[in-house]
Amino acid sequence: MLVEPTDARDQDARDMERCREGDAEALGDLYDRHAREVQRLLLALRVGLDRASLDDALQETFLRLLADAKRGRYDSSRPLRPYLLGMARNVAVTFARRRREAPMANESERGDGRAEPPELAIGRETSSRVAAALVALDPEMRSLLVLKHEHGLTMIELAAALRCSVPTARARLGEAAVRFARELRRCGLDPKESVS
Amino acid sequence: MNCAELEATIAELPLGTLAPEEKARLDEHSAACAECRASIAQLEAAYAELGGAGEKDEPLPADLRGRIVAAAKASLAAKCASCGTPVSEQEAAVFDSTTYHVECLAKARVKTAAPERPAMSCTFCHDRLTRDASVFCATCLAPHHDECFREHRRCAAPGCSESRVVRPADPSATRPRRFRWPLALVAGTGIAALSAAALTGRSHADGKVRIDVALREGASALGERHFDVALARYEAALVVDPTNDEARRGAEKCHAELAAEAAKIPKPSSTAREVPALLGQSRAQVVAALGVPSSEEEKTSGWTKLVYRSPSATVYLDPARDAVVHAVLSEGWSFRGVQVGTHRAEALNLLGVPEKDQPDINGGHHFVYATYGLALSFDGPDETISSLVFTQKPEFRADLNGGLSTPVPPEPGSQGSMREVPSLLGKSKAEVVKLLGAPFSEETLPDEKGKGFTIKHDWIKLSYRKPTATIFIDKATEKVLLATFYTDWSFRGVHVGMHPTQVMDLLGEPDDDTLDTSGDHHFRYRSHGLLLPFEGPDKTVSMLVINENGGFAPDINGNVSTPVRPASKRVNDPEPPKK
Repeated sequence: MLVEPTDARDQDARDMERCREGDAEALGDLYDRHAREVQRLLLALRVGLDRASLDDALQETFLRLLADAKRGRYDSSRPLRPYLLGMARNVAVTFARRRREAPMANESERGDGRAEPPELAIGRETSSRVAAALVALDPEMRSLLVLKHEHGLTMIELAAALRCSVPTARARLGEAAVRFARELRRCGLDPKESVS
Repeated sequence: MNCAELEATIAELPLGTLAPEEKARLDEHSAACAECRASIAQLEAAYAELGGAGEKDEPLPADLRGRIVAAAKASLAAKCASCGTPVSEQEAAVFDSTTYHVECLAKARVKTAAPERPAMSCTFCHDRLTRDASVFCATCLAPHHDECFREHRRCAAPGCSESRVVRPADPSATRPRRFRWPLALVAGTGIAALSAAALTGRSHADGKVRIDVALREGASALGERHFDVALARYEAALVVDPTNDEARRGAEKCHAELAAEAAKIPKPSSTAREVPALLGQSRAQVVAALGVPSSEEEKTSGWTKLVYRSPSATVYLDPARDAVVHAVLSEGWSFRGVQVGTHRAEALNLLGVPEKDQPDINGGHHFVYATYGLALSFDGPDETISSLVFTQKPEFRADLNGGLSTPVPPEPGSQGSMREVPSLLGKSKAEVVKLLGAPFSEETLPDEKGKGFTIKHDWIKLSYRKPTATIFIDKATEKVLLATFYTDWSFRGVHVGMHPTQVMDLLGEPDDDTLDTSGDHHFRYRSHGLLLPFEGPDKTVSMLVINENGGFAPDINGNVSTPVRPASKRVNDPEPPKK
């Protein structure tokens, strides 16, 4: 589990306050500290962003953060990291929706949130099957697993990222986990085979 | 506990979110179940793989930070509403809560003289396009440069292969601009105030020079017949020097010219024809009211479209019901004084506050007068009505751009249209079926048994769906005693969801107005045998009740919300013989 150091949180709160006052350079400082993780999340969500779209999504995330700071929507007593990751998740889902309406660039980048047919995945390496099972999930569900498993958010942080209560976040995460397990089976990772 | 019941628990195990007792239960089960152990191992391996299955990290672009900060600066800077460029605090002028450059605000005459046109780009080369240099595809009206269209030899819009173009009419031949006198005055006064502020902000040493500039600009604007701008200049000069004769004379001339311009504004035609009642009318009634249509056609939707000219009107009939479901009326028609070109404020004066005012993302207003089935879209730049649309259940829907455009006609064959409540009281079941069709269900109400007594319901309940209605028939006399009608039924224009004042507009004062303990009104119109409870959070008609003799009975809360049903017979059961 990643725990944000208190001084980093204070620094985030100060920078958000500067953003609220209209200091654009504060957004640059926030970018320096968080851009890498936001980019990692955007990639891990596997919504089929190409290089240019990835940069656009990153920029959109930080500009939304600035807009929220300006409107006073951000509560500085709360940690910024889950808030920002939740925002990046929303941006990624928005981009995925946009791609759903646009024609696919190629089959490997299926941006409609559905995986390539499981039968194609069968016979490939386990990692490919796991990736296929993950991509088969709805982007919003996928983001829950990524935030929890790959970014190590606690349930409280996950709830903050999703802007919902902890029980709701937990219920959604549980549903995502069950769907992921089923997709794994569909993609050929059947535990019965290993038993026999 | 079996494996299926543990599916969710196993799925969540690798995430580490299980409660200790859940985990203990799972451990206990998996110790004895090889399949679940394999599932858990498989899942843990998959989650372990998950970290590596993601796409590889990519380096952050070196210039992205700079781009984001620049975009942030641009979004933080106040922008001029006129030219769109950032405005510094020194050069900002705020007028009507909007920020402008001082110079841009002074040029506001351009805006009042000609409405702003959206920027166009050529469909072929995507370069900027001026109105003078543009031609439009004859089929889809996609704008092109003349040269581009000639080069491409057909329309460049996807899916369009039209090879003919249309050209904009000669601008001088377009209809004269509507000069808005009050707006001109407001804008002029605002500009004057700002200009004066700018002038007085200078030192007195150059005050003379500034007044001269204002007078010169005023004279120039006067020569160009931009009276609002000229007035602003002269009044600005008068603020600095109230004794300046030239400025005073100029201002007076401007006032006179503006008044003359205002007098020239075409008044709404007094010869406009009053819109007759159309919705729900039969074809014969429409022809009687509007005359023989100039054209008539069957639409693929199954509706019949009747087109009238001079004044122009389009009426859609549903042949299945022989009733008008949608009508669009253009210039030359008037509905209670409201006609095409009527301003929003005037429409409010004439028709009152609409039931619904749907704002769109452009700040436009779309009024819905459900009472009249009228939908008004104020979609012109001057917030005036573009057409009168009468439609069943009027509503506006978002268009592709997120705005609200035209009122949507009801789906053909849908139950969205209002159905008039027929006369039912005293009718037999056969007559009811003839009027309303076969009921969705029919039941004889069972007797209610109480302790020592039985309530005998000697009546039949006919239920209708889409639109919903319930008819109660006395079994003995075989006559309708009570009928309740819900959404999509209308009685002389009164329907569910109406406010008491709207009902009184249509039916007049009720014979009885009962108040219940919640303060809700219950209207009774004896001549119509109609009862109307006004319930719900917005105190609107919750149903239409046709009941000749009944009233409202108090319910268990002491309210009088339930209309009295036909009296049932209460019979005391014979006491069982004593042993």
